[in-house]
Amino acid sequence: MDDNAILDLYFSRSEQAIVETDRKYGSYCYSIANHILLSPPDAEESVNDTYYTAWKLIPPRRPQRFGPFLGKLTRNLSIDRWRKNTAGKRGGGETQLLLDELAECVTGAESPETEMLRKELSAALNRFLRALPDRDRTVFLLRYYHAYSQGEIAQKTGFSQNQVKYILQRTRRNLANTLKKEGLQ
Amino acid sequence: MTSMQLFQGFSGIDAELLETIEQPQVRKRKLSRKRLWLIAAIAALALLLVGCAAYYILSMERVKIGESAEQRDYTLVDGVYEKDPHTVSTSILTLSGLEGSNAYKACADYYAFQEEYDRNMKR
Repeated sequence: MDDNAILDLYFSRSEQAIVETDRKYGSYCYSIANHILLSPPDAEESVNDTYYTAWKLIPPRRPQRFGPFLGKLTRNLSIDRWRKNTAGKRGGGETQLLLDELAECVTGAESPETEMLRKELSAALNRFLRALPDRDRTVFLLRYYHAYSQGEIAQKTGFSQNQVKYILQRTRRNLANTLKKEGLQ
Repeated sequence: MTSMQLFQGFSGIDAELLETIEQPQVRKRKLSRKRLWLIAAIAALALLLVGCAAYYILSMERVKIGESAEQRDYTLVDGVYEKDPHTVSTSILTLSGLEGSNAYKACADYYAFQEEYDRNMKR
């Protein structure tokens, strides 16, 4: 079903909207959640939370791009769940690994989580990503947006694992420089 | 900023950028120019080797001055494939020169003479 038709179902408050969303984007959302949480039951719950949140937000919102909108909701909800699950202990799995990698780009000092900072960071990341070659951007986002492992990225893109590792290292170094220049590190 | 804040910051990426990675094109591994040259060089070397081997075998024919048959009996020798008495054919080669050269002709004549002499002696 077309995204607009699904959104119309949300606007008419038809529960069929959830069924159609699940049919079209269920596996996509589940993949995002499961990569972050590494737990199928938790991933299922995150996906259900995504549908619930989408139901609450639409209307009044009518996302231009429904897929990425759901993906972002799932990602945020999965990160929150992951933080809750690993509170007080060092979390394991791929998410912890990629957090360790991202630690190279930032100082590590806790910044106040203000809306302003979030907006500035998003704008800086968007500028940075737009300036990247397509190849590097794809690899970088598969790793740090979708939380794919390096092996999965290699499989999906056709690069070797060493090439993926190298692209990620170089892009992280560039990101660290960009954040430093913009005073966001 | 912490790595978690940065990780969460990725959720603010424009949808349009995210859409470009939904179906990344699987990159067909193209052979680099360097690799192509390497493969070509290996193929050329292999051909050269085959050529050398052929030349070597043909050259052996050009230094052959005769053929003979030998009786071998290895019944008392360990570690051989064929212990029973048997006949093997051998090629007689000269290192004096290639077929047609004076040294080759002299060697071939001497070998023929020796063979004939041995046969006469046996009689």
